Amino acid sequence: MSSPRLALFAVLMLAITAGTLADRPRPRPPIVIGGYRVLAVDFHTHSSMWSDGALTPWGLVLEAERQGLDAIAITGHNQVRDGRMGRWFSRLVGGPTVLPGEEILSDKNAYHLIAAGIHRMVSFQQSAARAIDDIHRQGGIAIAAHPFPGSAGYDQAAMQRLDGAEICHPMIYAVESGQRDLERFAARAPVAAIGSSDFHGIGTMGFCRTHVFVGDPSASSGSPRASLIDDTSAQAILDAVRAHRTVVYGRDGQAYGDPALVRLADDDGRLRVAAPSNSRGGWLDWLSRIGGVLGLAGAIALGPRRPRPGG
Amino acid sequence: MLTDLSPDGPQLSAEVRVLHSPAAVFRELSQKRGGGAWMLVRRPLLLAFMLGWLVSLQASGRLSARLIADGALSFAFVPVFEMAALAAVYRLGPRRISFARAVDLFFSGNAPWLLWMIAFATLRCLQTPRQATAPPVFLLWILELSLVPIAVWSAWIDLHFFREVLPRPAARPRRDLILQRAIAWTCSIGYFFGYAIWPYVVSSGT
Repeated sequence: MSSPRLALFAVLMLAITAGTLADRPRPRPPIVIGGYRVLAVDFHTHSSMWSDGALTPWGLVLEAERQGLDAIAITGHNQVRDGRMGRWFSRLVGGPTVLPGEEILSDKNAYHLIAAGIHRMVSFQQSAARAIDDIHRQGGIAIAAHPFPGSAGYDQAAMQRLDGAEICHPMIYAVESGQRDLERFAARAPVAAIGSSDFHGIGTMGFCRTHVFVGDPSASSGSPRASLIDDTSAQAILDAVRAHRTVVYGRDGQAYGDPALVRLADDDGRLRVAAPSNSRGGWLDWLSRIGGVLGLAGAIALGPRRPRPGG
Repeated sequence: MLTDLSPDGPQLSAEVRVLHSPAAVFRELSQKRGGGAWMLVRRPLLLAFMLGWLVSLQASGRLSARLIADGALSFAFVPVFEMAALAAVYRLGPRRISFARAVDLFFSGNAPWLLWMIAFATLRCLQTPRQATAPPVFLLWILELSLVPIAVWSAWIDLHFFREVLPRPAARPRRDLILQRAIAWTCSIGYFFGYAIWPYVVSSGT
């Protein structure tokens, strides 16, 4: 191998080493506000196993840990297998709580609906209201996924049944009217505010996230109910969403959710800083990406040492 | 390792040279003999590594061993289906080089896609996490439209591969290219987007 190529391979290896060193889980200290345990949850993630994501189900679990998330829903497109696989892996490694789920993409594109905490596939060949009934029969929750204008399937019957609606989704940052559109949808019915990243592998998982308030603040310490505050189980999360005990920060830091919980969270201040930073990272990150691009591009472009004449 | 140069050629890899003069490069490289397991897998592995490299940069803005491995595994179907499609075309007629060498040369023709991936990764290097998570709509359009000339460029290179490397009658290279693309792309799109596009397929039939 030629010396310049060898040097470029070394740069690439250095870049991977730097990136691997910087790839540490974010600290995830338990947050208790107003007697509730507050969990950071991303209810909308996709894996590479048949859901056009870029990470495997177990990769999603590890990424959720790196992003300081307490729980994720792995929501396969019209299937729940990758969610079940992610839950199995997370239990194996003691990772975040995984809610097996499904993003139901209806025929005729009438609605996209998140089903979190279900066990078997919900058919996409039915109305949104009937799909929500099916989700509820399985003990899951139904969340309207990125319900921008054009989601015609959300009629009055569906709206009355919904548990939550995405009020923070990456598109609110890309489309000027996005946040207002989601606000208008959420105003149609009393639903829990949900923030989800719709993570397919590009960008940051949990960039939009839901702060879920689980537990029972009325329980006195030492009572069996007091242990609920440490309950990070899927059931506790689903119960909290059904009770609309969520807070979400949207565009420009606007808070959404239960007004009393929003006030508690604002007084406390920790949830606002718990969201992923918009910084490009430290020097290890810069070294990793610049070295990674230059090293790989150079190593591919250069050939081996040219043989010496007569040699 | 991944380069095949004539003693008089420039000190550039086959990937770079094939971008502008694929016929000459394929003609020259197909004269060489050789094969073996390493030759069969080295360029498919490079493609898988590059896909993992891109996933890592896109998902975290850095290269980590964890994300590279996960991304490479997630997109391993791309080189697998490409190889399977090439194998189908390779078996349909006479051949003068080993399958391992044919795979090696064919994958060097992925150079336009590698170039696109490097450009996409460079863009990510400059973005904040928010810009990467929610890129402006016009940028998405540019990225998607940029794939069109890349696909045409890649098809042009592969057409030269089928002309120069596999000794087939005059009209066959175009047919080989279409067959290879039909198999590889149908399988890849079906695997990756199948569940997402199935409701649209169902509703279009009603």
